[in-house]
Amino acid sequence: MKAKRIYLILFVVCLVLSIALAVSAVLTASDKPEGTPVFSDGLQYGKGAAFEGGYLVGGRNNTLRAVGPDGSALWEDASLSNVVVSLRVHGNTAYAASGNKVYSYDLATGARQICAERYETGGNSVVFANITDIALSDDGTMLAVSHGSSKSRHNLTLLELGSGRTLFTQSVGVTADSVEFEGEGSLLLGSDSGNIRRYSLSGEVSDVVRLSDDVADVDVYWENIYAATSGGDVVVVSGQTGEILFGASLSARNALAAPCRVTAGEDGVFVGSSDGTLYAFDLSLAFKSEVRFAGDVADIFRSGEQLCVLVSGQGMFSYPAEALLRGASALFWVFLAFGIALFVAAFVFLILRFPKIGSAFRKTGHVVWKHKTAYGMLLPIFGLLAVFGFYPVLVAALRAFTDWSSSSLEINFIGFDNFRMMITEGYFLTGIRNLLIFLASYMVKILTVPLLVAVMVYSLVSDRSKYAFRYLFVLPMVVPSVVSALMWKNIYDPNFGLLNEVLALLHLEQYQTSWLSNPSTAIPALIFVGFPFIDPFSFLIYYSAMMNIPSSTLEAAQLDGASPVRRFFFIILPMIASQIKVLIMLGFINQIQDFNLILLLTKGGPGTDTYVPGYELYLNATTFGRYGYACALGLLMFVVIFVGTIILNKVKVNQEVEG
Amino acid sequence: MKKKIVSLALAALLAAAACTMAACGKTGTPGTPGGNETVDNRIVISTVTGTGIPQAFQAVEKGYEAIHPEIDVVVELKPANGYSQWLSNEITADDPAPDIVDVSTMAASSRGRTVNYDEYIDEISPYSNKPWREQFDYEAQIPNPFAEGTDSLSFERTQVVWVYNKAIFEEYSLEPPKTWDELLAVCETLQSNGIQPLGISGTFDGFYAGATGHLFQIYNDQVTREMINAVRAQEGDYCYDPEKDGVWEYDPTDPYNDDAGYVTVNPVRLMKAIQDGTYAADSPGTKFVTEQLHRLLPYYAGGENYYGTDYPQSSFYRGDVAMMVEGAYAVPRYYAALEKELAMAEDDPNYTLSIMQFEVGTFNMPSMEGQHVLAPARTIEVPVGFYGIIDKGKENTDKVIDFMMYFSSKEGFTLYQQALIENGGVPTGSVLIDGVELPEKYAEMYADLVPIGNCQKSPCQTIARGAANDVQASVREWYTYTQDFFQGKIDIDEWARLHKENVMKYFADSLRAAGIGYNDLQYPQNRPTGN
Repeated sequence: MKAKRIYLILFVVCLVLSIALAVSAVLTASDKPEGTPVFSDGLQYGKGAAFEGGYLVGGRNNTLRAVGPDGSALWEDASLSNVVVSLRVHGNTAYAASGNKVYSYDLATGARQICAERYETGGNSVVFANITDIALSDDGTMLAVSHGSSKSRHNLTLLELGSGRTLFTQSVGVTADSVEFEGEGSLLLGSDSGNIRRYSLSGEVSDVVRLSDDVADVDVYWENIYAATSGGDVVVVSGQTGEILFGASLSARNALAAPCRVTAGEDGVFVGSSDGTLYAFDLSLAFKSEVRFAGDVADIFRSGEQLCVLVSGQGMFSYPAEALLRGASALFWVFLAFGIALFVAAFVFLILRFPKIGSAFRKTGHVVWKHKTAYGMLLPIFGLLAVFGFYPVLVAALRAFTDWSSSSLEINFIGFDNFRMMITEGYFLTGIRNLLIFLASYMVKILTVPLLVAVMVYSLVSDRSKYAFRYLFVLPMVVPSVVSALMWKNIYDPNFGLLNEVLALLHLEQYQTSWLSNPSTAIPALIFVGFPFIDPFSFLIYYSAMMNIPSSTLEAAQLDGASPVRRFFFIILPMIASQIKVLIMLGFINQIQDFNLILLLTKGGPGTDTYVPGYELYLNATTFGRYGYACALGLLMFVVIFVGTIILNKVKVNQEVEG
Repeated sequence: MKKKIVSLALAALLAAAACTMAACGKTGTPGTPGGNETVDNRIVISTVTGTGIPQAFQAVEKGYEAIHPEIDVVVELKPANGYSQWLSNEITADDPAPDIVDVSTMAASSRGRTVNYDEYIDEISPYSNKPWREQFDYEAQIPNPFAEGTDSLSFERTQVVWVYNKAIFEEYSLEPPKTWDELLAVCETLQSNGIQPLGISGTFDGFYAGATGHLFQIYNDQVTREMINAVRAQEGDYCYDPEKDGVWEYDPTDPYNDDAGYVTVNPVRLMKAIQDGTYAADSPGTKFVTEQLHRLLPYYAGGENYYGTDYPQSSFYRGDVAMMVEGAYAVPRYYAALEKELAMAEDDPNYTLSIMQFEVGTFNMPSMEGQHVLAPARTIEVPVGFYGIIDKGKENTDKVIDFMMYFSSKEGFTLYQQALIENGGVPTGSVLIDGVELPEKYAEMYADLVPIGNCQKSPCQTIARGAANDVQASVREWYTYTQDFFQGKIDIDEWARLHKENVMKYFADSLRAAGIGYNDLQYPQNRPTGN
C-alpha cells in the first residue's frame, strides 16, 4: 500500500515535471532575439541606410527622412516625385535614386541637389529612364546606375561623380535590380535573366554565374558574392571562379519566401524577405535563426554591430547581429531530452501503481503479436486510407474556415465568412432549390418504374424470358453516362434536335423551343433525361431482392386467394423494404453531390437556373480558384449527407409479411 | 507453415507498396539552390488541339529532334473545352508538366509564372543567324502590361469579322452594312423573310470567350477610347519611356494610335482609374453599348435559342442563319468542310449534302454611332497562337526558348503549316514569320480582309465583361445580370448598377491578379509592390 502511494506520487511528479520541461522547450525554441524598435509609424517603406548620426528612411509615400538613433526626426524631404529605390552613404553625403534622377543630400541639413540625371551615349546626352539601383565606389568617386524603361531597354551606366562624365553605358537587355561595386576595379550586376555579370570600369562584360531565378539582390564580402533570387534561394558564389560554394533554399522553410535583400559581413549573412521574415545564416549559409514580422521586410542594412530591419506597415527595428546568429539554444535540447525521459518514467510509475493498466497493455501487445500477420497486412491499408482518405477530408474541413484561394499564397482564418457567403451570394441558395427538385424527382424515378419493371420480369413464367428481359434491361448499364448525356443534348438541340424535329413532323411547331436554354423547360428537360427511367442498377437491386423471396410464401398466398396486387403490397414490398431503403440512401448520397448532367448539358444555365451545390463547388474549385469556399461547400454537403444517412439508418423497415 | 510464409510475404509486399506510394510525389526536398536545378530533356507542348494541329506540331517535333536528337519533344494537346481550368490546375502545381501552353485563357493571376520573352528576344537565333526579334513580326505581339513584358508569342494573325452567306444577301438585295443601324436594318429584312439573321453563341462560354463577349469588348472600346489618356504612363512613372511616351498624342481617328509601340499603359493608373470612377462601369457610353447590343440580341439571334446555342457554324453551313461573328478563318473552314462533303457526294450518288453550297463573304465591324461614340469600331485583330512558356527555371527555359526559336523560324513554321493543311486544318490567317507565305488558295480567301485595328490591346475594354483581369466569379455575375437584361427581367439602369457593383465587388481580386496593392494606387508613378 505504501509502495502504491509512492508510485502514485512519483507518477504525478514526473508527469508535471515533464510537462513543465516540454513547455520550457517550446518557449526556448520560440525565443527570438530581442529587437529594439527604432520607430513605428505604420507607413510603407522603400529603402533604408545608416549613417553616423542615425538612419535614412525612404517611404513609399515618396519621402526621404533622416532620423536619429532613437528614431527622432532630423529632417525630411517630402518633395520627391517617386519612391527612393536605392540609398548609398559616403561620408556626410547620401545618394538617393528616385524616379529617373539621383539626388545627393547633405546628411546634416538635408539639403538636396540633383547629382545625376543624364548620361552620354552615341554623342548624345540622354536622361536616365527609370532607375532600379545605384552603387557607389568605396572612394565615392564613381556612381553606377542601373536604369531602364522596359525589360528590353535596360542599361548599366557608370559615371564619374563630380564631373558627371560617363565612363561607360551598356545595354543589359533585361531588367537588372541590383548593382554592386566589387572592390575598386569592377561592378557586379544581377538581372532578371538570373545572370550575375561582371563589368570592368571600361564596360567590358563577362559572365560570373547563372542562377535559376531573377536575381533580387547582390552583396559582396571579401572575395565572395552573396546573391538572393526571387525564387527563394540564397547562394554564395566564388568571385574568382564563379562556382556556387554554398546554397540555401528559403522556400523549403517557407513557401512564401521571396528574398528582396541580402547583406553579408564578417559575422554572417542576413536576408530580408517580402513574406515578412528576416533570416540569419553564417557565412557558409548554415541557418541560424529567423524573425517574423507582420509586414513585408522592405529593407535590411547594417549599422555597426546592429542589423536594422525596415518593415512595411510597422517601422524599423534594430537587432544585435550576434544575437541573430546565435541559433537555437542548446537549452532546448536539454529540456526536450529530460522532458521525454521524465514522461517515460511517469508512464512506468503509472504502470507500477496500476498494475491493471500494465496488464491491459501487455494483453493488447500479446494479441497484436499473436495476430501480427493480420495486423501487418491491415496496417498499410489503414495507412493509405489515413493519408488519402481521412487526411484530405480533415484538411478540407479546416480550410473551409479560411480564405484559401488561387490568387493569394497566404491562407488566413476567416471564421464563418465562407458559410455566410453561401447565403449572401445567392448561387448556393438557387442550387438548393434546384437540388430539392432533382432529389424528389430522382426518388420518384427509382421507386416507380424500375420496381414495376422488376415485378413484371419477376412475374414472367418462362425462365428463358426472365433471363432475356433481365439481360436487356441491364444492358444499358454498360453505356457510359457521358455518352448518354450527350445523346440527350443532341435530342434537345433547338436547331436539329430529335425532339423539335418530331414536333415539326406532328405539326406541333408551336411547342418547339430551346429545351435546355428556356428557363421554364430547362429543369424539366434535365429531369426527363433517361426516359423511360428504367434505371438498370435499381432494377437489378429490386429483382435480386425478389429472387430471394421464398417461392413457397408466394405460392401459399396465391393458394389462399391473394390477388397479384395484394401479393405485391403485402408480401413482395415488405420483403424488399431493406433494399428500397438502401436505394433511397444511395440515391440521396448521390444526388446531393451529382452535377454531371448539369455540367454536360447546361453548365448551370440558362443564367443560373439549373445550378446545384455540387456544380457551384466544382466552379469555385476549378474556375474561380476560391478553394476555401469550395471546401466550405463540400463540408456542408458532407454534413447534410452524414445527417441524412444517420436519419435514414434509424428508419426501421418492417420485413414481416402480413398474413 | 507455407501459409504463414505466404501471408508474411504478402504483408511485406503491401507494406513496401504503401511505402513506395507514400514516397511518390513531392518529397519535400528542395532542388539544389542557385544554378544547379535538375533539367530533363523533354519539352512538352500542351496547347489547344484542333483539326490538323497535333500533326502540325508533330512535324515540328520531327524537324527539331532531327537537329537535337538529345531532346524529346512531346506533343500532348488538350481540348478547348475545359482548357483554362486544366491550365489553371497545372500552373499552380509544384511541378507543372507542360512547357508550352496557350496563355490566352490564363487568368491574370497566373501570368507571373510564364517566361518573359523580352529577356530573350534580342539573342541570336541559330535558325536564322539574326536576332530572334527579326525572325518574325515581334512588334505585332501583344505585351502584358502587368508582366512588364511579352509572355505570349503568336505566329499568325486573324481578325474577327462578320461572315455572311452571299447567296442570302443577294436574294434579298442586301449590302454588307457599315454602321450598326444598317446592320439592324439588314437583320430586320432577313427576319421578316423567315431567315434567322445571326448565329451566335449565347451560353456562358459564348459570353465570356465567344462572339458575344467579343462584341461587348469591341463596342465598349468605341465609347472608352479616350481612357488611354488617363491610363497611359506619365512623365516620372516607372514605366515611362521618353522616346515613346514623350512624343505620343491621342488620335481617336487612328486605330493604331494606342499600340504598345506608341504608348505605354501604366497598369497602376488603369486600376486607379477604375477605383476612383474615372473609368466607370456604369458610364452612359457603356449603357449605350449594352442597349444597342440588346437591339440585336437575342431577337435577331434566334430568340430563346440564342441562350442554348453553342456552335452556330452548323446552322450557318446549312444556310439556316445568314451571318456569324467569327474569326476570318471561318471562311477557309467552310470551304474545307464543303470540299469534304462534295467529295463524299461524288463517291456516293445517294449522299445528301449536309452543307449548303454558297459563296462566303466577310465585312468588318459596323460602327455604332451616337453622342457617346468616340471612335470608329475596331475589331479583335490579333496575332493568334498565344504560345507561352511556363517558367520552371532558367536552364529549362533556355531549352524551351531554343525550341521556340526553331518553331518560329522559316523551316519550323513551314513544316507546321504544311502538316496542318495536309491533315485537314486551315491556316488561321496571315503568317507573321519572315519568309513564310500562305498557300495561294488561302491567300486569296484572306485577300479581302481589311485591318481596322485591335480593340483587345487597349486597356479600355478591361471591364466590358466584369471586373478587370478576368476574375471569373465576376464574369459569371456579369453573364447572369446581362442575360437578365436581355430577357427583359431588369432595365438598363439596373444593369448598370449591377455592373458597377460587380466590378467594385471584385476590385480587390482584380488588384491581386495584377500584383498591385491598395497602397500602390496612392502612388501610381512607382513600380507596384503588391502592398
